[in-house]
Amino acid sequence: MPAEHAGPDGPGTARGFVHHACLYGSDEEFLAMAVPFVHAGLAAGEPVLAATTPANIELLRAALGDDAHALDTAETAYFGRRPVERVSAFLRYHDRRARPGGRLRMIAEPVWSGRSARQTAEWKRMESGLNLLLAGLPLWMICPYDTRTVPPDVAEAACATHPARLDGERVTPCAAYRDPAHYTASVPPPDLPPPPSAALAPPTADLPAVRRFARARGAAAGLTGERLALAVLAVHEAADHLLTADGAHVTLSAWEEPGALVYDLWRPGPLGAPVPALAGYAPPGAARGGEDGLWLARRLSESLDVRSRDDGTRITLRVAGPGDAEAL
Amino acid sequence: MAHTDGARHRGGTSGTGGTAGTVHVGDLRPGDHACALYASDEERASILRGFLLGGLDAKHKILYLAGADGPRGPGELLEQCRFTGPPEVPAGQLEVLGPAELSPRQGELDPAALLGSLRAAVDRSRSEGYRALRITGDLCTALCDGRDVSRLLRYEALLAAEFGSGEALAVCQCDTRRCDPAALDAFASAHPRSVEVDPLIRTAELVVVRTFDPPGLRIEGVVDTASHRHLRDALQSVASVRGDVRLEMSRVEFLDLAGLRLLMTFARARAARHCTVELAGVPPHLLHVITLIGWDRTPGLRLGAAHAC
Repeated sequence: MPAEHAGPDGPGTARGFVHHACLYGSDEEFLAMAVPFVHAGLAAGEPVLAATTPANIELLRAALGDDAHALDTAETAYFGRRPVERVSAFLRYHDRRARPGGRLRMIAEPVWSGRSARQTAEWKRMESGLNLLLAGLPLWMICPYDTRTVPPDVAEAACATHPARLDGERVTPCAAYRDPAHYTASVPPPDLPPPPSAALAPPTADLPAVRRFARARGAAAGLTGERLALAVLAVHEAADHLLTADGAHVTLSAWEEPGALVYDLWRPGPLGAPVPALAGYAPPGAARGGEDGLWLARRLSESLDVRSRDDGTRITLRVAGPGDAEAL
Repeated sequence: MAHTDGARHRGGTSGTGGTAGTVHVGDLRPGDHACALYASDEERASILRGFLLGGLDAKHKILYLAGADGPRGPGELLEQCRFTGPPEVPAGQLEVLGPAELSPRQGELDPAALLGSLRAAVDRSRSEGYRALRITGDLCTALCDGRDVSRLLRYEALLAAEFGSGEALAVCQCDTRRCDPAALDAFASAHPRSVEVDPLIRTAELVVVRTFDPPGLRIEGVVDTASHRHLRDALQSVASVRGDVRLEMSRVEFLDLAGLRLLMTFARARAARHCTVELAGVPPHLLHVITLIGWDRTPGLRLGAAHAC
């Protein structure tokens, strides 16, 4: 496999998104990648962000000398708590820091430990989806994976979701790299039908009826005020997205899980374009976009799973229940 | 927040000016006695247009009680209404009584004498075959003599007693720019309702009313896919307003993302003309959404205080 040296400019000099994984097993290996990456970026006048663990930020600052002052940093757990927020955080950094004709660099190390299976799968899908979502940005992004702590399946996924890996300053293409559409389909969200105890609404294409159902179930689950209004808005936008297809209708169901209220929207039939698993990750832009509403539904939910099958499309969104102490 | 996301009820809104209720001018019925508090000639013209058209449509006799600065005849009144296409007014249906007729002794306006004129007008209207008499006038300023509102209130009390029967309706105009605040309060509280312009949009789900002080819109009810077109039309109608615009949103029950985007697009267009759009009374969850998207940084947009839960 041909390997290239990242060199002083690196492979991201050309326009477009460059996305590398860095699997490291020690502080030294982390720094062997990060220090030259940051130095070269700052030397070229590029904005450089390190969104990683506080420990790695401390290591990196100590190793950078005076350059540490010019480094933008973010504690990674708070730089987008969920994938949909992570994408927004990346785009916001670009919007605030990009200069015409200039490139940006990022070290973006997600938090992997302690994640639920659902969350881990979604972060993997997002890592793959970034190749599409950020494709137009002049951004060189390195995603470090700490092999001392990440689960083996996560380390393995890194080579399927990044076109190349970076070891120190050496770039190697990832043989296991998969096209994002195929990769995300291979890591689907759980496909569970609503439980028998779920509350059901008859099939409808009427958005006010969708909102009435969403409000009634939200209120029954104990949501009130602003949180109830946001849950209704999330369900409305998800339903609106499914109902854009001519002749479509949705069947809604809702049930409670510990800590969450689940809304399930099922659009039967081959109506409308399939909704890709990566739909609704890009925040609304200057012009109206077809996935804006889905983005909002995603953003207002703890999780939003999309599954398109031959016999229909299902969107399942979980909103935090009244016991969510962050919102108390 | 009691968001019901339900249908709009006619006349179910409470208004400005300290009165118990607001009635759109087109909804006035015989027996109504309402005040019209306006702060611009444009707002007065808009109310008067609705008042006249409603009267012509319902075969009411229309009587205008003019003060010293008031119109001197039907022609001048129609001009003040700023019709784009003036309506056909059958001879005799619209009458303007000026100061000379209202105070024959050339003295101060006297409530009892005024009442006498009005009684005669009702009789005349009945004998002429009209279904009802609708009265409006701009006597407020003349009757509010400095801070002494006693004559005005005596007149209003007599009017209320006289015309509660259902044969007449009255709209008492008051230019808030020319009235002392205390007199204005007294004037407003002498009327069970306050009249406002007819809504630009009135559907089962959405009502949008033009407001004038400050200029803007009051949005009530539900904005979703079914009503984006209406909201866009309403925003278009204030696109040429000079200066800043306020959108009053405390009675918005539901607003979807695409509807919110219409407001942002409107703000951006205003910013290009160096004006702002204030969103007032925005429900807290919508403020949250605006901030999530980053639309709180939209050029031209000002976010007023949130609507209390």
